Amino acid sequence: MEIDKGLIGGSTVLLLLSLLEESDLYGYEIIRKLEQRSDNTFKFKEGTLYPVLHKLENKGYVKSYLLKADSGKERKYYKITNNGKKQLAEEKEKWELFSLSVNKVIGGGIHAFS
Amino acid sequence: MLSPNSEIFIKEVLSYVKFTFDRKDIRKEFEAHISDKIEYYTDMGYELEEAEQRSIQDMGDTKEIGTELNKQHNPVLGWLWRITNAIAILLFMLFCYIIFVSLGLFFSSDLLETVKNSEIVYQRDIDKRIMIDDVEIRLTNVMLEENGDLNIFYRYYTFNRWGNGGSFGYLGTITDDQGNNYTSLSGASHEGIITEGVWTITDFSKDANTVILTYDRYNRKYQLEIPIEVGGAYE
Repeated sequence: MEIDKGLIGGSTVLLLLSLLEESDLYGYEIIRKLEQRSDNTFKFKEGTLYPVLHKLENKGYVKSYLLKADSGKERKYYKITNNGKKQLAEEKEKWELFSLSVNKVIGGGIHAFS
Repeated sequence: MLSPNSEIFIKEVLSYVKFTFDRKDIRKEFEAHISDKIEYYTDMGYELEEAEQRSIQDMGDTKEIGTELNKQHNPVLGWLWRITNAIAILLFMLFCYIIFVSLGLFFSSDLLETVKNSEIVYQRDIDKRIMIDDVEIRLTNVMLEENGDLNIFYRYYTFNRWGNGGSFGYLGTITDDQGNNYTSLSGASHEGIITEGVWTITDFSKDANTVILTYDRYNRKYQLEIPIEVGGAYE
């Protein structure tokens, strides 16, 4: 099953900050990792990633820097900030509450997915 | 380099970004992404043209991307940021200017220039030092004007000018080798860490060849002779 996912809005902040908590990444890498981690469930509109990244930067959750690869190609890397780590913890908590609530509703109180 | 198709895509996205100063960075980021994706597809065995077409398609809708980017690259905030930077630079330059002025670096020749408007009969660089209190004053130049004004330029520097540092209006008794006594003295100076100034003695005798400064006050003494060799030029 393939879910056509626009990156604007929703749980994207949680996904991006989680990845960036592990290592600094540039946009293309983020897309690849998101696809791999989701076993290609998500089919991303890749260009919509950048408005989100720029928003995270404006909010101070990430910082960007340029780095030249050995091939000579220059890429813009994103790095999570301390503020971003705090935000990530908050988003995680929200998500857990949300998914728990959804499960309760569709499972009628039974742990349908456990 | 990217082909015209990628270029069209990027141009379309950028057309929505009103704050044009950010367009260059956004362009670079998208160029890098598209070329990475093209490589991904060519590695999978696609022809370049096909690979590019797929890559652009994967990017999504130019309008959606462009309008969202425009929200993050707000012209008002962008301009505010640039203006703030410009003001910071101006303040820094002003700060440097003030430092330079207080060091006397900008106006070091100003005093000489003002006198040069009138006729100079005689001028010579000198290097004489006198001590007044803790401050060593260097006499740097002597200049005689046609109207009889004798200017002595001096320079000194001190770090405690905000403390006891007074002005050096009193030079001592001024005489010349002909026995004339001069009491009419005026002066001007640019004060700073380096202070530059000039003492002007009016109606300096046409017959005199040397000006003599004698200072004897509060147990501090010095006597200094500065030759004025006018020769035949001055009648």
